[in-house]
Amino acid sequence: MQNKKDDKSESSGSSLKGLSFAYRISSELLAALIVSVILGLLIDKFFDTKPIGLISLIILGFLAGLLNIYRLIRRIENHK
Amino acid sequence: MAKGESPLKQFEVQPIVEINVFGLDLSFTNSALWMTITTVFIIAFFTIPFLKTKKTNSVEDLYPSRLQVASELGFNFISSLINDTVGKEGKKYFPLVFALFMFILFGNLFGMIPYSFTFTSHIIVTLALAMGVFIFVTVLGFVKHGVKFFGFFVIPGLPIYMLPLLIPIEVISYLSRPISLSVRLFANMLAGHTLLKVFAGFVSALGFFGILPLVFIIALTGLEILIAFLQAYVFAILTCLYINDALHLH
Repeated sequence: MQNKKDDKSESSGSSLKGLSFAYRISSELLAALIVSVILGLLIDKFFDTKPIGLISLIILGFLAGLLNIYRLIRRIENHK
Repeated sequence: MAKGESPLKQFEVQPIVEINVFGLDLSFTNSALWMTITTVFIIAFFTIPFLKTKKTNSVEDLYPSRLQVASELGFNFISSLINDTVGKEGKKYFPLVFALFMFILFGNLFGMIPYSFTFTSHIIVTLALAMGVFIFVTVLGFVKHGVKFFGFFVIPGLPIYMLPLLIPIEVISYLSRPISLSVRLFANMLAGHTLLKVFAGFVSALGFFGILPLVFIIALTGLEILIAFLQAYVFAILTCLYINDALHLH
């Protein structure tokens, strides 16, 4: 009885985990880009380097978003 | 929904009691009202089952009441979540994760009641919660590891000439945590509730065929309740993961 109950709770937990991963992937990329655009605009404002800070930070932010997604997917692989 | 009313009208913050303190607008709004209702409900949900004063010395005293089982289910859910992600050291941070989970969960669920107000559909509310978690985790990392916490931004086993490129990427990735936490919750709630109201507008506009969007709304309401639970779960599990990162560094 106890064993059966444990099995059930585990399977519902793993399907929840799968759905939660799906919701996380989409927002990771967006969030990194938002942060990098804000940082880029701030750098341009303080150092007076109009387009360079924004452009370089958008590239870095995109890479950071990809890195976040890569780590997330690697974590899903470990869960299997 | 009345004709000409926007589906976004449900998100308007309206003052119920106007309070002005030294030029600061501290009005008690419908948002604040629903936050108060949520908090009071949570406190009641977790205290009423344990207030049993009647002692009859019968066997029935040994059985927990239904309400007690329901509240213990929530307790065990978060307790096992922390145990799985952080481990034994995470027990200390149970109150934080539990309070966040319950506040967001019941905020989302109360938002599903027609004519109520969903406070989690406002970015300022979710961002405040996420920034609270972010600042707490950062302070925790510095308290536990001191200056070594900066080593979090360096991936071990990497050649030195890669560091100037990868440290900014890691810093951006770290700073994006509160944004991704808050935007995810806010966007899901906003999109779901707007979609429900848009389809509700079709019901009256289509006349007899309005039955089709009505059926769709019923299905969508079920999905929204699942999302309400799921978003609270994602917020809680990410808080656990960030605490784990701050405690163990990588």
